[in-house]
Amino acid sequence: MSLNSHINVLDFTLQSLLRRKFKNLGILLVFTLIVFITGSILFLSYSFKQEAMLILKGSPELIVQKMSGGRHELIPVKISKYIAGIPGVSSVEPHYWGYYYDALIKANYTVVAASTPLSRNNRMLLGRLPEKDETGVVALGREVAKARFVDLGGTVALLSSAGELLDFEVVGIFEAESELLTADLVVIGLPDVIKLFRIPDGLATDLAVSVSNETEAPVIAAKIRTEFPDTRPILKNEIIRTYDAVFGWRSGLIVTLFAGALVAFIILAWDKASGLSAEEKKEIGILKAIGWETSDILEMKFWEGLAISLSSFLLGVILAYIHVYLFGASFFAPALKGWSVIYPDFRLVPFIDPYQIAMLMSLTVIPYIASTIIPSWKAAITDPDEVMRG
Amino acid sequence: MNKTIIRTENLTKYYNKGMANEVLAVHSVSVGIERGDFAVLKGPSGSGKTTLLSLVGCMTRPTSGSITVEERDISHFPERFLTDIRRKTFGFIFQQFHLIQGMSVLQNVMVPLFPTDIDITLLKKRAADILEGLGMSKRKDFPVQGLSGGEQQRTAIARALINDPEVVLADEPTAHLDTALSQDYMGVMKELWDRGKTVIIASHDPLVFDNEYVTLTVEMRDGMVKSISRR
Ligand SMILES: Nc1ncnc2c1ncn2[C@@H]1O[C@H](COP(=O)(O)OP(=O)(O)OP(=O)(O)O)[C@@H](O)[C@H]1O
Ligand SMILES: [Mg+2]
Repeated sequence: MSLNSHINVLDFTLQSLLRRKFKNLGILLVFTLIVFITGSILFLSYSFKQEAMLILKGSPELIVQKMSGGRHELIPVKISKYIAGIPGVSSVEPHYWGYYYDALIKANYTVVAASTPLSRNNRMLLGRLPEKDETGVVALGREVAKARFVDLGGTVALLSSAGELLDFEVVGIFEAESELLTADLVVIGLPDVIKLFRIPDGLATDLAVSVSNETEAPVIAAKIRTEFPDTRPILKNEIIRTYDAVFGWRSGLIVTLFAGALVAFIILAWDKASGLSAEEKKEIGILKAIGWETSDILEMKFWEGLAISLSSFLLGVILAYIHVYLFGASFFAPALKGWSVIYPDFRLVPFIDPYQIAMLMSLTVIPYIASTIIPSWKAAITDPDEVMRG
Repeated sequence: MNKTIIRTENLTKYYNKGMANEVLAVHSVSVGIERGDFAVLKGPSGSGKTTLLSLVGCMTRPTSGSITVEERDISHFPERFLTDIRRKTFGFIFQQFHLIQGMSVLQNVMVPLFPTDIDITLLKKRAADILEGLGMSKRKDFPVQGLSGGEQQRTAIARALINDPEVVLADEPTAHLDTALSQDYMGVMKELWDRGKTVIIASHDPLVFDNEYVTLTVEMRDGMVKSISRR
């Protein structure tokens, strides 16, 4: 066969697609929707990862947490003296932070004590961050300020663990470099964090260990673990997982959506695979009987599968791109908002990862084409004499 | 050139051989069909006419025995070659016409030659010429599902002729036609035969086999040849 025959078969295929326009349009829609959902998820999770990378930039090489019964517990500050003595450690700093549930707007904040890394990571929009030892003042993430309807100079009250209402004057509103994680951030002075969460003397939330040579970090982590078996040193690259735990249910949700989309796709493919309609089967028989070879029929089915899957794929990816990067994944917003009312305005960096696109394509286009060709192949290799009997 | 175009030797066909529902559809049939024959396979229902026709037309393979088409024993040919022979030597007209729904008359006539190297404009012209010869020109852009029975019949004939076949095969062509259309149809077959085509028709309709121009009548019963008469 040379070129003409392929053009002719392609021509015939396109006409066949038009003949069954409703069925094919239906498949096209479902397929596009699935690619749209999975594509949105892929783009979104990529951006989440990007955001996490931004956070990692400013975070210490090692974070040491105390564990008790498998749960994160407050850690004694005095062990930082030992850790600081390990060769290769340049500094150890206790961190004080916690989650605060605001019943008023039904949202979680992450409350953090003011410290230097914070000012490195955040861009002040208005005012300033509290000093480390300052009391009675607060800086709010943009979204928190929005949700509480406060401005610079206003007052925010937080309820301490002792049941005491603490008033804070808003001295700053900032925007995090990584909005996704820190839009719900509230920064107050260290004494206020201790008061708010009732952190006992000599304890901290965790210890941030800076290491001069990052490749030594695993060795230092191992030393800490031997000396203090009830601690868990987390390496910088493991922080990604901590972040995952914080947003665990979010990623769980995404995995669910992703799995749902894949299941829908499998159903679609399966339906195609098992449901070669009687009419289609008969048509294959007719084509065979009037002189088409099995390979001609497979070629036709290949074109058919390619035309449908490739156009749905492209359409779905383009729509997903628009959805995620132009509309801030607004369809997913209601679901993602569950975590916190404070849903950041995404300003995600548009980015196309060719590897991801290729993967999505191989997970959709190829199985679809296969599910179009295989049943047709089964129909095409049977003797065409069945056609004689109608 | 050999006079015999198709020859069968002890041709036998079982369906579902070895199983409970085994059927011996064609049993030890030996016939020779010559170039330019107007052959009719007749016999009661279930006698094996359709089966013999599809064996002869390379649609299915015999269980035993041999079929020679243009001096090639095709009983053991791989399927690709059978397709090739079907495409080059035979033109089929099916009982239910088996046109492809949703396509125009012209497209339907063109379909058999799509997977060949023919240029599409040439193919279109050839299909249009054949349709013209059958008086179907004004219907050529109609979708086939809107056609009358006689028009569908002619479209099916045109499709069988698109490859300019040596042999035209038809199975019970008049089964769904009234007398006038049946006579019409036989008129077209005779014309093709006059133009030198070999015609083979399976039918138990006297309108088909009681014609003075039929040169070969093969009478079947229970899968076997009861009689062969040549005129
Ligand atoms: N695919 C098949 N599987 C099993 N048996 C079959 C099959 N096709 C035909 N038969 C059987 O083979 C026998 C011959 O059938 P065939 O269709 O050749 O007869 P026919 O002479 O064309 O009959 P009719 O006049 O009714 O068309 C019949 O008994 C039929 O039931
Ligand atoms: Mg029959």
